[in-house]
Amino acid sequence: MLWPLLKGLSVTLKYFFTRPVTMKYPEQRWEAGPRWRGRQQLLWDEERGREKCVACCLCATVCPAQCIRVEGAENERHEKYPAVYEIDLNRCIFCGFCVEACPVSAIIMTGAYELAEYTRDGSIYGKEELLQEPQLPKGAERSTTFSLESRLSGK
Amino acid sequence: MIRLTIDNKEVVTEDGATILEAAARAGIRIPTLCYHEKLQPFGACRICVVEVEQMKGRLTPSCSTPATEGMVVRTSSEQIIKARKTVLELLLIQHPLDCPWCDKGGECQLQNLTYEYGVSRNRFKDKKSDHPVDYLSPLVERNTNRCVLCGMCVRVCDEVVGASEWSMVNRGISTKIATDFDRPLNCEFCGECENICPVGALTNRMFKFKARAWEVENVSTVCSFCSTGCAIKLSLKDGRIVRALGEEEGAANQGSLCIKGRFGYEYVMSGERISRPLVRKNGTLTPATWEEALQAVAEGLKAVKEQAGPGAVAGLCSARLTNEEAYLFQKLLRAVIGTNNVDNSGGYAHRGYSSGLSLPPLEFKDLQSCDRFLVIRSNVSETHPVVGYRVNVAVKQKGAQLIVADPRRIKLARFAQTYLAHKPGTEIALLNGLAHTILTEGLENREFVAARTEGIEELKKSLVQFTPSFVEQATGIAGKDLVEAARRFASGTRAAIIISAGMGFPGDDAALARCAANLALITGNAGKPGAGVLFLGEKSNSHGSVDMGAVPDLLPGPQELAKDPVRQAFAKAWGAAIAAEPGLTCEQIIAGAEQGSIKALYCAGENPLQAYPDTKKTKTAFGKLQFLVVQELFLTPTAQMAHVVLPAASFAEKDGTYTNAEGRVQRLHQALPPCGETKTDAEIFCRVAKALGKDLGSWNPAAVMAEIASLAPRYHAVSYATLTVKGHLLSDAADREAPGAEGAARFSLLPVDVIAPEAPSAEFPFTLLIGSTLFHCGTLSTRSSAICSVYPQARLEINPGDARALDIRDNDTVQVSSATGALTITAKIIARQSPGAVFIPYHFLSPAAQELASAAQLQTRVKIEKRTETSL
Repeated sequence: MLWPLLKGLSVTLKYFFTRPVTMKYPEQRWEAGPRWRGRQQLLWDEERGREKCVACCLCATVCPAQCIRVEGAENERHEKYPAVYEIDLNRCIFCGFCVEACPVSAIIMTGAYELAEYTRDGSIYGKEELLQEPQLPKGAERSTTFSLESRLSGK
Repeated sequence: MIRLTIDNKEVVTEDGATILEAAARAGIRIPTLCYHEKLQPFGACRICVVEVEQMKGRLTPSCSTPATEGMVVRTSSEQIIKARKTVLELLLIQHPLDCPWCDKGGECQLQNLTYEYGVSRNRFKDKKSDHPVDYLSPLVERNTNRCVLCGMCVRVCDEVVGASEWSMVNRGISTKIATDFDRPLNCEFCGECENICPVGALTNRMFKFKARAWEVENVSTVCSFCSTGCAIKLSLKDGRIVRALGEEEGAANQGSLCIKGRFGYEYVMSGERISRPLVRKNGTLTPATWEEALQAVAEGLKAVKEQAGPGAVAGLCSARLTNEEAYLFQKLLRAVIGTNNVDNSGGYAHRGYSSGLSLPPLEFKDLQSCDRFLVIRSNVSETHPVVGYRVNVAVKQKGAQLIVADPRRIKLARFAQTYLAHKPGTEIALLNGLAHTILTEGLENREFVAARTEGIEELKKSLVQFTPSFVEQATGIAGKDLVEAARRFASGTRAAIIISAGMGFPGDDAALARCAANLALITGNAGKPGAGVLFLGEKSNSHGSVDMGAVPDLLPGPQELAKDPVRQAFAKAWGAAIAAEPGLTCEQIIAGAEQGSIKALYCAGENPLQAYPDTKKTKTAFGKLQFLVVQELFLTPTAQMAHVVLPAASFAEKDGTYTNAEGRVQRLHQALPPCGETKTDAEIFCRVAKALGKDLGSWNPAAVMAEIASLAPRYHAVSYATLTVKGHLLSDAADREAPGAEGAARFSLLPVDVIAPEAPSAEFPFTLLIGSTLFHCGTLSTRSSAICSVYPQARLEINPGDARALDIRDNDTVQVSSATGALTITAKIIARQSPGAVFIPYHFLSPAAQELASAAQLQTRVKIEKRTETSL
């Protein structure tokens, strides 16, 4: 009867002296892997001073969840640009087809995975928001201790 | 017939067909870039190469090689595919490959073929083409970097449209498509070049970057402008119309469109549309609910009816209402109010095809088989451009001979073998002169006249005075020119006479139509395809609104109101007595309003204050009305005077049918939800009737059409269940080949009265021609910004000689005054205008040409004075 108790306690004791697997979320955060498909980001073309997107609508066409809405327009250089670029993250299934379809590599998936909002409208990202790199909330830090490498190596 | 083998398949085709046409007939697809069935073979792209066994395995372009007896053709082999791939690679050397933002992407022939043949790498390398893009041309954008030099734009502009704006310039690798000196486009802006371009070299500026081809939903409907009745497809994205395309299946237009059809739809989505009912309270129009507005209408009409009887109420409807709506409108007035006072702009014009013409209409497709055309009082290539294309094709591709009679040197006069510049308003004398010459020279078709007509002797008697010298004096056309034209006309086997009607062509339509029918009959031009008289109404449903009885003396059918059995049949069907005496025409209604006998007027879509002659008189008349209801899309000058304004749905927001000039009933399909609180005209009529305590039945267009079909024999076979995109050709039009069969009706020749041309006066030396321009139709098109970007305002067109005499330069401001009114306008000196006459288009609100016109006279005489700086 005592033996199983000791056996159980030994497991407890073993983990008592190893580093914890949990972290102090939200003060600390997991770093997502490079292939992580978090919310999309539209890229800015520094050279030409405009978004890379040319509003070809292939992303919207390929999107299986039909969550992308693009409205093309003409800029003063007679180029096509997206006057409206919206992704409804309520519907997005983070499949990454939009990235794959883009002929000008204007869209990427980022590591942002904390996408909860208080309203549904808040989850509809417009062009300006999508052009921003995802930011951590104030005071939060990316955990290096709990980085992907450390997870993979198990240290 | 020729027999040949294509891909081991026996194919039979007619003589003269090319291999490509033979293959298409057998359902074998050969890819093309420069071929179009409307155009002559060109053989530029070499994509359509095939192997012909008899040609020793040499590759030959199938689009320009005639099929011959016993030919053995292979359309696909390793060698052919290799050749096609090479052609594509060569085309792609200079092509910018900007598919992601090219508006043609998704419907681009080059893109499709590149994909189909898997051309993913190019063996050839060179600099990409770097021509400047033409952003200055309105409506059509030209990016020759994407061009594949198929020449289709050049050919469609020349062979079909007849504008010859494009041509290929330079040689070899630097060849490109250009206008003369590479200036921005200054043409008809029909957009046919942009539409036919297989790649994105020419694109529609209105569609630019609005949507990708695969994103849009296309709704098939009918153009709302002229009576050609072009079938169009409206492309929708996010509930907005982003472009209009010609429907290739459309029987009237076969995919062609003009500027109005292609770029004129914008008024539908205009921010100026009335979206709520308006009721006049304390002198101003204030927004109201439908209940209030309908009650106000019912009370207003009821009050007048009770005080002064139903004869004091009148209705004017637009020739743009659908058949169903025109029917309900006249039913509302006849069965609910109890008056025959209903008319459309037909009171001023196009009475011709209801009371003048005894011939069935010509079918448009048959125009291409005509060998003679007489175009008289009809600027057909401007008022009905797509019909004009057909005349152009017949003349340019098929060698038909063209006689044009018009005081203005109109576009068709450029291709005409005979051009007769007669004095304005003397068309009848001219037609009678032609008939007289044909009869005196013995050029008539005696067999036809004897077998199928009657009254030739009376006609001859009445024509006696129309000798060439008399006609010369009356019309100003030299006797020998008249004789030449008569001989030319009579020598054909299939001759078409084309006449236009509408607010742009004031005059005695019925008499003119009668004279034209006489001329067609004596030369035997009736009862066969491509022969007869084509009477073109101005607006999309000009013909339908007469058929639906929206005129004072006809009941739906059209059947004569005067006939007792007809009236009884309708009385029984409608459950209301119908007055026997015909109602008042437009002119009489306005005169009646001025004198006080008409106290209430219901204007459904009609805008008399802008479109009818003598604006001042109309305005005073309307000011005296006790009650004016206007049912409109916009707050027009007429609507501004109304007591109640009811907002109506546009053509894109409703179902229904239009009847075009060839007698084809075509279906409108709703593309957009109604704008704001607007309702369709049909629903409004039914609701007004209900407010008046009567039931007009369902406003569902299909149900209304079923009722029309049961009452109007001509529409007997029209049913929504069977109407296709090709429409339904009305029975008498379809029976045009029947006369000649046993028991066929004999045409009767109508004696013709003399109409003396009016003499010009010293005070008003110029004749004013009020008409339509190419770019506008009625007053509605002035609400489309794309059209207005090309033709923003009315200008006075004046002959250079007259301008010099008056010291007027281009763009000078001039004062034009007639006995009725005066206006100031910018002058445009143009050689095509005949001396002694000036032209002002009537579409615009300001300067409004109709202020100068008078309803009482066919001709308006004006004087023109140059406005100097000090007098301004």
